[in-house]
Amino acid sequence: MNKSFILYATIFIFISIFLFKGLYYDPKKIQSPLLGKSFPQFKLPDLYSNSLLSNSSFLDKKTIVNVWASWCLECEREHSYLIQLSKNEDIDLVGINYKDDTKDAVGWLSMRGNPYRVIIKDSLGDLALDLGVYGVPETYILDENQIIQFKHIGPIDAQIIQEKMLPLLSK
Amino acid sequence: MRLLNLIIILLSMNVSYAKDIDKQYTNLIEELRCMVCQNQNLAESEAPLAVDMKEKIKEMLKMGKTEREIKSFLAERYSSYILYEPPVNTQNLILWLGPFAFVLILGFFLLRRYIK
Repeated sequence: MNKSFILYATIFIFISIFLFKGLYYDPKKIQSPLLGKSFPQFKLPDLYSNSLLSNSSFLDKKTIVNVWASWCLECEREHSYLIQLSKNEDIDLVGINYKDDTKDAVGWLSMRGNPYRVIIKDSLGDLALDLGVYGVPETYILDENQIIQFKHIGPIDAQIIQEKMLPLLSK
Repeated sequence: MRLLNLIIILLSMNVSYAKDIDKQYTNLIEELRCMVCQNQNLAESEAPLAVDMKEKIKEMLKMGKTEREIKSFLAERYSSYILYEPPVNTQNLILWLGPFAFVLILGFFLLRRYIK
Protein backbone atom coordinates (compact mmCIF):
# COMPACT_ATOMS: atom_id res chain seq x y z
CA MET A 1 0.00 0.00 0.00
CA ASN A 2 1.05 3.53 -0.66
CA LYS A 3 2.94 5.11 2.22
CA SER A 4 1.26 8.49 2.04
CA PHE A 5 -2.15 6.83 1.92
CA ILE A 6 -1.48 5.29 5.32
CA LEU A 7 -0.34 8.64 6.66
CA TYR A 8 -3.44 10.47 5.45
CA ALA A 9 -5.72 7.69 6.63
CA THR A 10 -4.22 7.85 10.13
CA ILE A 11 -4.62 11.61 10.28
CA PHE A 12 -8.19 11.30 9.04
CA ILE A 13 -9.05 8.69 11.66
CA PHE A 14 -7.52 10.73 14.46
CA ILE A 15 -9.45 13.85 13.50
CA SER A 16 -12.64 11.80 13.16
CA ILE A 17 -12.28 10.37 16.66
CA PHE A 18 -11.59 13.84 18.02
CA LEU A 19 -14.67 15.34 16.33
CA PHE A 20 -16.87 12.34 17.10
CA LYS A 21 -16.16 12.74 20.80
CA GLY A 22 -17.08 16.39 20.46
CA LEU A 23 -20.58 15.40 19.32
CA TYR A 24 -21.33 14.07 22.78
CA TYR A 25 -19.79 16.91 24.68
CA ASP A 26 -22.38 19.08 26.41
CA PRO A 27 -21.17 22.68 26.54
CA LYS A 28 -23.66 23.38 29.33
CA LYS A 29 -21.74 21.05 31.60
CA ILE A 30 -18.90 23.01 33.05
CA GLN A 31 -17.01 21.62 35.94
CA SER A 32 -17.17 24.05 38.79
CA PRO A 33 -13.77 25.32 39.89
CA LEU A 34 -15.18 25.31 43.42
CA LEU A 35 -15.13 21.53 43.73
CA GLY A 36 -12.74 20.59 46.51
CA LYS A 37 -12.83 24.10 47.93
CA SER A 38 -14.54 25.41 51.04
CA PHE A 39 -18.04 26.80 50.93
CA PRO A 40 -17.70 30.60 50.53
CA GLN A 41 -17.94 32.81 53.60
CA PHE A 42 -21.31 34.49 54.03
CA LYS A 43 -23.45 36.44 56.45
CA LEU A 44 -27.07 36.49 55.33
CA PRO A 45 -30.48 36.47 57.00
CA ASP A 46 -32.68 33.46 57.62
CA LEU A 47 -35.71 33.42 55.28
CA TYR A 48 -38.20 33.07 58.14
CA SER A 49 -36.68 34.76 61.16
CA ASN A 50 -34.30 37.24 59.49
CA SER A 51 -31.70 36.34 62.12
CA LEU A 52 -28.18 36.33 60.71
CA LEU A 53 -26.82 33.06 59.36
CA SER A 54 -23.17 32.33 58.59
CA ASN A 55 -20.88 29.39 57.91
CA SER A 56 -21.24 28.33 61.55
CA SER A 57 -24.92 27.66 60.84
CA PHE A 58 -23.91 24.45 59.05
CA LEU A 59 -24.06 21.27 61.09
CA ASP A 60 -21.24 18.81 61.54
CA LYS A 61 -22.54 16.38 58.93
CA LYS A 62 -22.88 15.87 55.21
CA THR A 63 -24.92 18.73 53.86
CA ILE A 64 -26.94 19.21 50.72
CA VAL A 65 -27.19 22.85 49.72
CA ASN A 66 -29.97 23.60 47.28
CA VAL A 67 -30.35 26.92 45.47
CA TRP A 68 -34.00 27.60 44.60
CA ALA A 69 -36.56 30.33 44.09
CA SER A 70 -40.33 30.54 43.93
CA TRP A 71 -40.11 31.94 40.39
CA CYS A 72 -38.10 28.96 39.24
CA LEU A 73 -40.25 26.45 37.38
CA GLU A 74 -37.67 23.70 37.32
CA CYS A 75 -37.46 23.86 41.11
CA GLU A 76 -40.93 22.42 41.26
CA ARG A 77 -39.85 19.31 39.40
CA GLU A 78 -37.16 18.42 41.93
CA HIS A 79 -39.07 19.40 45.04
CA SER A 80 -40.46 15.94 45.84
CA TYR A 81 -36.93 14.52 45.69
CA LEU A 82 -35.74 17.09 48.19
CA ILE A 83 -38.62 16.21 50.51
CA GLN A 84 -37.54 12.58 50.26
CA LEU A 85 -33.91 13.44 51.00
CA SER A 86 -34.93 15.55 53.98
CA LYS A 87 -36.22 12.39 55.68
CA ASN A 88 -32.67 11.05 55.89
CA GLU A 89 -31.40 11.87 59.38
CA ASP A 90 -27.76 11.60 58.39
CA ILE A 91 -27.94 14.47 55.96
CA ASP A 92 -28.50 18.14 56.62
CA LEU A 93 -30.46 20.04 53.99
CA VAL A 94 -29.89 23.78 53.65
CA GLY A 95 -31.70 26.01 51.16
CA ILE A 96 -30.52 29.16 49.50
CA ASN A 97 -33.46 31.27 48.43
CA TYR A 98 -32.06 33.04 45.37
CA LYS A 99 -33.25 36.51 44.35
CA ASP A 100 -36.75 35.99 45.55
CA ASP A 101 -39.57 37.84 47.21
CA THR A 102 -39.78 36.61 50.81
CA LYS A 103 -43.58 36.44 50.80
CA ASP A 104 -43.61 34.41 47.57
CA ALA A 105 -40.91 32.09 48.87
CA VAL A 106 -42.67 31.41 52.16
CA GLY A 107 -45.99 30.87 50.38
CA TRP A 108 -44.38 28.54 47.84
CA LEU A 109 -42.99 26.39 50.65
CA SER A 110 -46.17 26.33 52.70
CA MET A 111 -47.98 24.92 49.67
CA ARG A 112 -45.40 22.30 48.78
CA GLY A 113 -43.74 21.52 52.11
CA ASN A 114 -40.39 22.71 53.42
CA PRO A 115 -37.58 20.16 53.09
CA TYR A 116 -34.89 22.50 54.44
CA ARG A 117 -33.66 22.68 58.02
CA VAL A 118 -32.69 26.27 57.44
CA ILE A 119 -32.97 28.65 54.48
CA ILE A 120 -30.47 31.36 53.66
CA LYS A 121 -32.09 34.41 52.12
CA ASP A 122 -29.87 35.59 49.28
CA SER A 123 -32.07 38.33 47.89
CA LEU A 124 -29.28 40.10 45.99
CA GLY A 125 -27.60 36.95 44.76
CA ASP A 126 -24.27 37.70 46.45
CA LEU A 127 -23.71 34.25 47.87
CA ALA A 128 -24.91 32.72 44.61
CA LEU A 129 -22.29 34.72 42.73
CA ASP A 130 -19.61 33.43 45.08
CA LEU A 131 -20.87 29.92 44.40
CA GLY A 132 -20.81 30.46 40.66
CA VAL A 133 -24.56 29.86 40.35
CA TYR A 134 -25.93 30.38 36.85
CA GLY A 135 -28.80 27.97 36.41
CA VAL A 136 -31.30 27.69 39.25
CA PRO A 137 -31.94 25.14 40.72
CA GLU A 138 -28.43 24.08 41.68
CA THR A 139 -27.50 21.45 44.22
CA TYR A 140 -24.27 21.05 46.15
CA ILE A 141 -22.95 18.45 48.55
CA LEU A 142 -20.62 19.56 51.33
CA ASP A 143 -18.71 17.21 53.56
CA GLU A 144 -18.44 17.64 57.34
CA ASN A 145 -15.75 20.29 56.86
CA GLN A 146 -17.82 22.35 54.43
CA ILE A 147 -15.73 21.31 51.46
CA ILE A 148 -17.75 21.29 48.23
CA GLN A 149 -17.76 17.78 46.80
CA PHE A 150 -20.44 17.87 44.18
CA LYS A 151 -22.37 20.34 42.12
CA HIS A 152 -25.33 19.78 39.89
CA ILE A 153 -26.93 22.41 37.69
CA GLY A 154 -30.63 22.03 37.00
CA PRO A 155 -33.21 19.89 38.78
CA ILE A 156 -32.05 16.69 40.45
CA ASP A 157 -33.87 13.44 39.70
CA ALA A 158 -33.95 9.85 40.92
CA GLN A 159 -31.06 8.83 38.71
CA ILE A 160 -28.74 11.63 39.82
CA ILE A 161 -29.57 10.99 43.47
CA GLN A 162 -29.02 7.25 43.13
CA GLU A 163 -25.88 7.31 41.01
CA LYS A 164 -24.08 10.48 42.03
CA MET A 165 -25.35 11.86 45.30
CA LEU A 166 -26.03 8.87 47.54
CA PRO A 167 -22.54 7.37 47.07
CA LEU A 168 -21.04 10.68 48.23
CA LEU A 169 -23.51 11.11 51.06
CA SER A 170 -23.07 7.66 52.51
CA LYS A 171 -19.29 7.77 52.48
CA MET B 1 -7.19 82.34 39.45
CA ARG B 2 -4.78 79.71 40.61
CA LEU B 3 -7.50 78.07 42.62
CA LEU B 4 -9.73 78.05 39.58
CA ASN B 5 -6.99 76.37 37.56
CA LEU B 6 -6.56 73.80 40.25
CA ILE B 7 -10.27 73.10 40.29
CA ILE B 8 -10.32 72.73 36.51
CA ILE B 9 -7.37 70.38 36.60
CA LEU B 10 -8.91 68.34 39.37
CA LEU B 11 -12.22 68.17 37.56
CA SER B 12 -10.63 67.06 34.32
CA MET B 13 -8.65 64.45 36.23
CA ASN B 14 -11.84 63.19 37.68
CA VAL B 15 -13.39 63.00 34.21
CA SER B 16 -10.43 61.10 32.81
CA TYR B 17 -10.59 58.75 35.77
CA ALA B 18 -14.23 58.08 35.10
CA LYS B 19 -13.49 57.59 31.41
CA ASP B 20 -10.82 55.10 32.30
CA ILE B 21 -13.26 53.08 34.35
CA ASP B 22 -15.81 53.25 31.56
CA LYS B 23 -13.27 51.96 29.09
CA GLN B 24 -12.19 49.14 31.38
CA TYR B 25 -15.82 48.30 31.97
CA THR B 26 -16.59 48.12 28.24
CA ASN B 27 -13.50 46.00 27.66
CA LEU B 28 -14.42 43.61 30.40
CA ILE B 29 -18.04 43.04 29.48
CA GLU B 30 -16.98 42.36 25.91
CA GLU B 31 -14.44 39.75 26.96
CA LEU B 32 -16.59 37.89 29.45
CA ARG B 33 -19.14 35.27 28.55
CA CYS B 34 -22.73 35.27 29.68
CA MET B 35 -23.07 31.92 31.44
CA VAL B 36 -26.79 31.65 30.78
CA CYS B 37 -26.72 32.37 27.04
CA GLN B 38 -23.34 30.99 26.20
CA ASN B 39 -22.84 32.46 22.77
CA GLN B 40 -23.22 36.01 23.97
CA ASN B 41 -20.87 38.18 25.91
CA LEU B 42 -21.98 40.16 28.93
CA ALA B 43 -22.27 43.34 26.87
CA GLU B 44 -24.86 41.81 24.56
CA SER B 45 -26.79 39.93 27.20
CA GLU B 46 -29.73 41.18 29.19
CA ALA B 47 -30.18 37.95 31.15
CA PRO B 48 -30.72 38.70 34.85
CA LEU B 49 -27.46 37.01 35.79
CA ALA B 50 -25.55 39.02 33.19
CA VAL B 51 -27.08 42.23 34.54
CA ASP B 52 -25.99 41.23 38.07
CA MET B 53 -22.49 40.46 36.87
CA LYS B 54 -22.21 43.79 35.12
CA GLU B 55 -23.27 45.53 38.33
CA LYS B 56 -20.64 43.57 40.24
CA ILE B 57 -17.96 44.45 37.70
CA LYS B 58 -18.85 48.13 37.89
CA GLU B 59 -18.73 47.97 41.68
CA MET B 60 -15.35 46.26 41.67
CA LEU B 61 -13.89 48.76 39.20
CA LYS B 62 -15.04 51.59 41.41
CA MET B 63 -13.33 49.88 44.33
CA GLY B 64 -10.12 50.15 42.33
CA LYS B 65 -9.82 46.53 41.25
CA THR B 66 -7.91 45.91 38.02
CA GLU B 67 -9.30 44.11 34.97
CA ARG B 68 -7.08 41.14 35.69
CA GLU B 69 -8.30 40.89 39.28
CA ILE B 70 -11.92 40.99 38.18
CA LYS B 71 -11.36 38.33 35.53
CA SER B 72 -9.70 35.98 37.96
CA PHE B 73 -12.42 36.69 40.54
CA LEU B 74 -15.08 35.53 38.07
CA ALA B 75 -13.02 32.65 36.68
CA GLU B 76 -12.47 31.31 40.20
CA ARG B 77 -16.22 31.07 40.60
CA TYR B 78 -17.51 30.33 37.12
CA SER B 79 -14.45 28.52 35.69
CA SER B 80 -12.25 29.86 32.93
CA TYR B 81 -15.08 29.14 30.52
CA ILE B 82 -16.33 32.61 31.33
CA LEU B 83 -13.25 34.13 29.70
CA TYR B 84 -13.32 34.56 25.94
CA GLU B 85 -9.57 34.29 25.94
CA PRO B 86 -8.88 31.13 27.89
CA PRO B 87 -5.65 30.74 29.85
CA VAL B 88 -3.06 28.29 28.55
CA ASN B 89 -3.24 25.04 30.49
CA THR B 90 -2.69 21.34 29.90
CA GLN B 91 -6.29 20.86 28.81
CA ASN B 92 -6.13 23.28 25.92
CA LEU B 93 -2.42 23.27 25.17
CA ILE B 94 -3.08 21.47 21.91
CA LEU B 95 -5.35 24.29 20.77
CA TRP B 96 -2.74 26.92 21.54
CA LEU B 97 0.21 25.05 20.09
CA GLY B 98 -1.55 23.01 17.40
CA PRO B 99 -1.48 25.65 14.65
CA PHE B 100 2.23 26.35 15.17
CA ALA B 101 3.03 22.65 15.19
CA PHE B 102 1.01 22.26 12.00
CA VAL B 103 2.90 25.05 10.22
CA LEU B 104 6.23 23.63 11.40
CA ILE B 105 5.44 20.12 10.20
CA LEU B 106 4.12 21.39 6.90
CA GLY B 107 7.21 23.56 6.51
CA PHE B 108 9.41 20.59 7.19
CA PHE B 109 7.75 18.49 4.49
CA LEU B 110 7.78 21.31 1.97
CA LEU B 111 11.44 22.03 2.66
CA ARG B 112 12.32 18.40 2.26
CA ARG B 113 10.56 18.19 -1.06
CA TYR B 114 12.20 21.44 -2.18
CA ILE B 115 15.71 20.25 -1.28
CA LYS B 116 15.20 16.94 -3.04
